[in-house]
Amino acid sequence: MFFLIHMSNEVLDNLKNAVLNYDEEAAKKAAEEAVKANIDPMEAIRSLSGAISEVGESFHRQDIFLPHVVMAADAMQAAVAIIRQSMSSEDVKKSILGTIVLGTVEGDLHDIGKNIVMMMLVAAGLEVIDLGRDVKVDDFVRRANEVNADLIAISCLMTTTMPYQREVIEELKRLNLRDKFKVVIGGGPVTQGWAETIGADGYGVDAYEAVDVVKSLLAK
Amino acid sequence: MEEKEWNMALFHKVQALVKRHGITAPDPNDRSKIVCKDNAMIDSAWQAGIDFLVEQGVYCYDTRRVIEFTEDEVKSTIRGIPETLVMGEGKDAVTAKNKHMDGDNDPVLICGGFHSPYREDIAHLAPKAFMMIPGVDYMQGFTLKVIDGREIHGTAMAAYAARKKVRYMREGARKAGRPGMAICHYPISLEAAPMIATLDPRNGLRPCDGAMMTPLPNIVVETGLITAAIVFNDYGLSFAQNGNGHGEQDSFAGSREGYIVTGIAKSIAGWLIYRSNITNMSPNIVHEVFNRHTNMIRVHGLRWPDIMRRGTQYNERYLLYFAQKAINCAFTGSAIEPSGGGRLEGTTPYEIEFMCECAEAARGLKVEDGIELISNIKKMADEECPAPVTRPGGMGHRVSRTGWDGSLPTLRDVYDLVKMEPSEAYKQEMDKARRLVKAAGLDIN
Repeated sequence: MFFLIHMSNEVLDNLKNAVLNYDEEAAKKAAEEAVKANIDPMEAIRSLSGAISEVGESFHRQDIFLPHVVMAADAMQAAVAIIRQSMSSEDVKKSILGTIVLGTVEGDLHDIGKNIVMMMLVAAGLEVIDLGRDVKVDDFVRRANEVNADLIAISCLMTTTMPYQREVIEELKRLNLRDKFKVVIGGGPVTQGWAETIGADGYGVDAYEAVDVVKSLLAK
Repeated sequence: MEEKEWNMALFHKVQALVKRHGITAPDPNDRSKIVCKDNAMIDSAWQAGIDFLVEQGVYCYDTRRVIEFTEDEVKSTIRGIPETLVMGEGKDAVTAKNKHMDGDNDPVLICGGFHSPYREDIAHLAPKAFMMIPGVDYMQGFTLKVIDGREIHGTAMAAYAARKKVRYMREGARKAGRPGMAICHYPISLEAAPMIATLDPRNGLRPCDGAMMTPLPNIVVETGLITAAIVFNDYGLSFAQNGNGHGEQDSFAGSREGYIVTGIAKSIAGWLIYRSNITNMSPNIVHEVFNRHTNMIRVHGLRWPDIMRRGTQYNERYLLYFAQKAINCAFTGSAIEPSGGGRLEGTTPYEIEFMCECAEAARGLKVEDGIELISNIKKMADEECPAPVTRPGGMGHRVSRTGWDGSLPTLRDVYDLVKMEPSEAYKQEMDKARRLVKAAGLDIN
């Protein structure tokens, strides 16, 4: 019994350390070990989430740089993909807090903030479909429908591209899909006032707040 | 190649170059290391920047292709950066050049401001007020969110708004009695059509004008601006300015040393791809690298903790920030660009006048003396007018926190654009600021 617990802890530590060391290969290996050792998949995913939260906090403290967060997120996603193979579809569904379609609006090429938000959302255990930058209104709606998303997150950095955030919401209304998806907006020029004006469900002033807003909206 | 792949390849290449060239970044809090006195390190950093472009290239985001260069191409193109450029025309023309970093007595090149959003009702008044300031050499444009009462939305509206904005600028120059003053177009949209639509010798950009043309922080360019750059080059546009907006931590450089490599590569890339011959630069060693190896006109000066953050209230501390900025640019040989940082109608002509005066007084200062002066101003500001609230820090662009939407005071609160004078209360703040600047050791009368 002691041996099993010890082994289980070691595998969970390996998972955690792989993320903290930004090591995708080690994360995959540890995930395979976890599956082989019949470790509770939810516990394994919790261990990974804890690790990536630590990475997020280090980034927030400005101890590490963006590439490290990307590599940590990649390691986590690779491990989660392996662990999920051992789970029933019902359990996989339970392990995902929600599915988010995210992108920067048409005409706007600035996506650093959006990328940071994406990684924080992944770290929080959300499934994120990143549409990239310069995303057309139709593509937000079409992709959200395709993946049966819970929430659409829309970013922009320029005052002249902000109206596209409103257009996504208008398009959802036009297609009678507004109630199907929560909509969160963010980006340099975006304010709570703008979010209220265009009828968005939420607004995050930065990546940290965005995650909280998304989580609280999905919990409703 | 997908962009994510590019970003991570950039990170790994930069880290390899840091190792290969033995680049070290000084402690930002060590005042003795604000300026790097090690020419071997400066040369290594320069070579690392070139190696990046030769070995990694520049990524074009919409074609998803990497633009490749040979070392000869990079170096010969850099040699093509003109030693001087003429901005504007007739009696209002100025000859701009890269000033040396230490004790160069030549005049400071001064942009009069904007680079921030404006509302249409004062778009016809503001340019004149700024362009009448004698020390101002050229003006950057502003952005508009609304034109003719309609929200700017879509390419056609953006093209119309860009044309009209430049027209306001040209008209402002005429009213200021300086019709030949150069204008730098600040994009309303980064698409090719709205950029190109500004070209119009009568009311738009003339060949003696310029435009902001900036590669993205991860050394990425895009076809819209490349097209605009080709057309601008064909038109003979005199200059382009690389805004180089980025943060150290949220770039893909991966370390402070890596940020030196990307800082150099990005500034070269701006010239290679967009023909940007005026460049905002950071970190500090990038200034020294370009000063030593190119004729590129550098903007903004050095950064270290004694440089105060721009405040949000119109008070003496806010004015002292502008004094520091002017002194910094004057003694580092940099051009001054008092950009609004995204704040709605933020900077007033009063700060610009003050900045011009401080820059003139600090012209020719040695680096050590300039650093000392700025430190003195910071000490006095902290003692006599400490910052009441620290602005929120963190990653990424925080334009909303700088009040683009008018949530902060605007120039209308303290400056009358019709009478072209500040409020009495703001004049009193200026008296205090001037007293402190003089006490710190700058000879302004």
